[in-house]
Amino acid sequence: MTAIAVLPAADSAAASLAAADWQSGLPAPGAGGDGCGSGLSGFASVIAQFVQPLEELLERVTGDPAGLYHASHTWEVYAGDVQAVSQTFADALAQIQGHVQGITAAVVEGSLRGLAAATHSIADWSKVVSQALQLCVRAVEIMRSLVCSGFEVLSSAAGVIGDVLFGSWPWEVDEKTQAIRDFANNCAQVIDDVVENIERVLQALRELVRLLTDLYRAIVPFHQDLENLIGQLLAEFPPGDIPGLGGLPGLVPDDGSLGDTYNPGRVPYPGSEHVFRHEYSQGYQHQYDLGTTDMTTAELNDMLRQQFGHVFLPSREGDNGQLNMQLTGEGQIIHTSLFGMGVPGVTAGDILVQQVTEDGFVIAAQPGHPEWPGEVAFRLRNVDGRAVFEVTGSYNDTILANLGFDGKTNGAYAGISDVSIWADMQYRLEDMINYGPS
Amino acid sequence: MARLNRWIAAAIVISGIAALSACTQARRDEVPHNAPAGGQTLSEMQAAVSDIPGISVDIAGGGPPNVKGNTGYALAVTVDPGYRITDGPALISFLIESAWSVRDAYMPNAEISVSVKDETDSSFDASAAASEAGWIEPLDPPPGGAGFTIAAVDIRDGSPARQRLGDWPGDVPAVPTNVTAAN
Repeated sequence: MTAIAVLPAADSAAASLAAADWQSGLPAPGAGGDGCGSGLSGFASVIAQFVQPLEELLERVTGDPAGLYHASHTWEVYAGDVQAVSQTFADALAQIQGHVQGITAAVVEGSLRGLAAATHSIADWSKVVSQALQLCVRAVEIMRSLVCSGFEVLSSAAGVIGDVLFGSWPWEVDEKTQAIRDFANNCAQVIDDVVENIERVLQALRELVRLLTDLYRAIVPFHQDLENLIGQLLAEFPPGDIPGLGGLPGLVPDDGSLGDTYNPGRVPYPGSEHVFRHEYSQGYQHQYDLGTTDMTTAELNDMLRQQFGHVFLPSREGDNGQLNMQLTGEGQIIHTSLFGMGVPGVTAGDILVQQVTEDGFVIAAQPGHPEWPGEVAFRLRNVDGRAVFEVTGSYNDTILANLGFDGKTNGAYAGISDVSIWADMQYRLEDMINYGPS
Repeated sequence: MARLNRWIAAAIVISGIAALSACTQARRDEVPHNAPAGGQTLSEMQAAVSDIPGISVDIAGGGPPNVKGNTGYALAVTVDPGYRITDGPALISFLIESAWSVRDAYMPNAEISVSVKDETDSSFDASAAASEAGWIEPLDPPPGGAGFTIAAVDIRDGSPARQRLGDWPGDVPAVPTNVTAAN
């Protein structure tokens, strides 16, 4: 495995950030920590310098998840500001090009390039750590030992990913399918152990996948080049060539048990003002209980609009550019991606905010988005003292139907939308309701 | 069982991204694009719509089909302060036919939408204008929606709008006059 390049300036700055005052408000390490055993292996050994602080944080924060959440939230906001500074440098560079000559131009441009690159890397690193902190909150609150198990599983799987990213090319299809099988088997083993908590496990595992993705973004300055390369590589494999997975959607019933709906109509929530602009043949509807709250429906939605970039996971981008975004109103265009991966038309695309109501909003995918045409309505309410979050999607066909899978796929797709995207938004809303935005 | 199903669904996610790219590649070859003649170029269309006073139009779309095999356009009209739309049906028809006439892009096969943002005149309804022009069935406007409305025209194979548009790329429509006016 070849060495991973890390911008020295960014790494140094990140270390300074890690030692800054934000930690001073945290309590002393708790007594109940059981740690992550002997630490991480595989790919994690390569990124040990980044992962180790997270393990230490696990030990430090068991006593005050609320304090940790606020610290992480503040840091996220800061990371977004740093990203804006980076963009400012980049803009300045674009503006001065052609206006200065000779050695002056070389010095100025060189300085700006260095600053832009360093701040970008710092922002990425900060984002990773802040999100890791939030993950720690989740881990501490829910199932810390299981998250550690997930770390082990994912670090093993990521070992293969690391070989792909940094090792020999091209990645053979046999290795790829085996990696997926191994990953699935390992995850299945973890889940078998804790079947009663499977939903929480899936949530934790998925957040860890995102965390590893972000880690790789943070430590590899040329991550976009790699993603482009991955996109090209994946295009070489025709649909259905992944053994053992082709029949999975057929195992999932289309009976509504996963939230799948049929001919859902234009009114997703009778009694509310949400309206779809089309009638579609399929859809899904998920409802999440966010726990008790004394916030009114108006207050909940004001929080959602103000903290939109923090809680609306599809808008999370690798460059952190939309982190501090607010839901400003109808006509707003938002760039979205799956796991922060920016492959246009496959994992990324634009959405349009086409309606904002007193208790939610409606978005529509735009041309080029993988889900287009399709619409999703969100509702957030106080129902008898409990915060309730609802997501309703509507479309004519699922992306699975275009992957060569036989039979009906809406049940499987409804389940995917639940576990891969909206359940994550549920937990972020739940944390923000519990602890409040910083 | 439901929990097992959710796990299966999660497992599909792992494999999904891999297959999605490949599917996208296959879809690109199935949709006509870059016609050698007829219609107009995207830049010519952009120039034409900019000739209409009092509005600006952002044009998104025309690119390769997504993983579902769908491509089309989303045209976002913003009415300048001090102006209003005086002939909505004519404006909507012009924009839809203009999008259909672009030859140096992918043929729209799913939807062409026109959104209109008019912060000084919240009474304009793009959907009602499109309905009056015969592109869509009448729809009740969403409640609220002060100054922002959308007309989404289904142009899938066999749809009335597709039949009306004819062969692709379509003829270049004449830039309409008097569809906007100063207040």
